[in-house]
Amino acid sequence: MPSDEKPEPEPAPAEEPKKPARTKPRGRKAGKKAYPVLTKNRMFAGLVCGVLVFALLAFLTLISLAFFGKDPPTQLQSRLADVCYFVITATIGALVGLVGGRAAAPDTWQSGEPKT
Amino acid sequence: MNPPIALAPNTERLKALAVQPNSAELRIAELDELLADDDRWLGQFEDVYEKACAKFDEGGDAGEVVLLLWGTACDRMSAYQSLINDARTNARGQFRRRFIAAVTLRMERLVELMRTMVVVWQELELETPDAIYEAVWTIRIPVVAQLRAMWNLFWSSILHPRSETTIELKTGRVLAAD
Repeated sequence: MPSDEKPEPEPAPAEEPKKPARTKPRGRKAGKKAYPVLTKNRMFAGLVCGVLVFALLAFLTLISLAFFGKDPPTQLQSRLADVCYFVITATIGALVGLVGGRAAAPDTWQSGEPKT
Repeated sequence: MNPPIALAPNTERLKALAVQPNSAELRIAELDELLADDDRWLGQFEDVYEKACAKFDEGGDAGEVVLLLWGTACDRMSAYQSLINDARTNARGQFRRRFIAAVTLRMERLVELMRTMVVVWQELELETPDAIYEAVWTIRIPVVAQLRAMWNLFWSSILHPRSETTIELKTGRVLAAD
């Protein structure tokens, strides 16, 4: 006996979920460029000022010793001059390292108009 | 008879080269012109960026990506196809070699473009393809700009220790001081 049953239609393949359409900002921000920038904050400024103050104090002490120290200098004056010399050397190196290192490390990227 | 050639708009150099239709110089000059036109590329931001990312993810090299983008930016895939065919069928390979070399040199323009897209459209949180991540986010700071930025940092730290100063590192200039 022939069957009257019709073959069931195959279920349509499930559609893949489409990605949500992205807002197209066509031409909206054309002409802009990306620039690496850094921001100097209070903490960094305080650090630089502190190191600079140490360097200046050591330098002034050394000058004072040169003008007002005894000749020949006492052992304490020689020791103080050595300390001042060390402080000046160390702080100048620290300043170059601080400022140079900071200037080579961008905090973020900022967009803006091209500069000439 | 040679087919008409679509030129980038108002370019004297291209007009001069147009006397040699289909020459490698014309093609390379046209590619240069397109890569230099940021507005045009950024105007097609979605196509350009996503196609470039997809090509990189497939393992394509910079040359392939630039070629693909060139087809996109031209809005004439036929021009892109004919270029590829030229390169493939060139028996002596001279044009192919020159073109690939020219394309490779444009890598810098490409990464700058992609970097600009990521920064300008931050709200879209675009991802940078792994293949060029380092190239995109590594910059070269000129010596003069570095010294200038150092001086500006030092001087603003002494003069205005309580304010926040923003310095642009590619030129070393102060952008803003609050």
